[in-house]
Amino acid sequence: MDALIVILGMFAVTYFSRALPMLKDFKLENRYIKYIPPSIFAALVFPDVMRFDEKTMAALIVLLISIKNRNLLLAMLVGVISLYLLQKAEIF
Amino acid sequence: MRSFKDSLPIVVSYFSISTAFGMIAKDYLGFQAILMSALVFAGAAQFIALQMIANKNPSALIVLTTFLVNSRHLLMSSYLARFYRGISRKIRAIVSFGITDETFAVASKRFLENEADYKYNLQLNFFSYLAWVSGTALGIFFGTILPDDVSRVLPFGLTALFISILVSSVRQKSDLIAALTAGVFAVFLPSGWNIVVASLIGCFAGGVAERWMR
Repeated sequence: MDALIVILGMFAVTYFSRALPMLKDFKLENRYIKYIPPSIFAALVFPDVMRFDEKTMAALIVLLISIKNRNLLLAMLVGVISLYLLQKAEIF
Repeated sequence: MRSFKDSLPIVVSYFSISTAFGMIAKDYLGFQAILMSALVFAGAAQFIALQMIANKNPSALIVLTTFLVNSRHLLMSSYLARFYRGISRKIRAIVSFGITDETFAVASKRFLENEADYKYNLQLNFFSYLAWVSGTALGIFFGTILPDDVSRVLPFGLTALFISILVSSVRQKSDLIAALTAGVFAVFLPSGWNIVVASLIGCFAGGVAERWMR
């Protein structure tokens, strides 16, 4: 298998998805499009944290911190440290 | 520079994640791992591709899976396009290359606050890209900096980042309905298509909810 072909193929399809709407008039209905950010980020987060394990607990901690403070770096640090400690504690 | 300050959380997480990517990819791709990061610049897809290369999947299937996983950028790009009316085609072509979940999240937030322009977006993408590619190179060269139990929890930094962004993107009840709908569908739909399909269903739910509540 030629790794170079895989890499070039991945580049082509990824750039296509990124550039098409920016370069061509690729319109989606406006009333719906503003719901893209909450929808996409929920879709990315939920599958990762809904198995009811340490990640669920760490995600809840991050959620509470994020409601109080919008700092992205803080959320990230709290998430990684909580998950690390929860896994060490072996509660689940 | 605000773009630099805003890029820091992304730079930190990209650098650590791509270092992890480089450490694993080294065995399958060698220095071509750097080329993959430089051309594809998409975390989830690159990790999936690595797994598929390890399992000797056909090249075409790896590319198709990449398209499925990354087709969500169609949604992000079409959302960002509204802020690029009147901007040259060349700049739109360049800025498109740097659209990722994280750069999109930060840029769309700043555009909405009227605190971003195309230069801001280009810089944000560039810093993130630099972190992604240099982290990959570092991962290949210094494969064993982090203890295993630390590098295993690092990817959760991205989930935490998404949670924080999710919280700030929910401004009204219809946003919450869109998010919950998309989230639940993403859990139950088969992975590969789930992010895209669940997001589209979430957008629809948000739009419908908005109409009902009016």
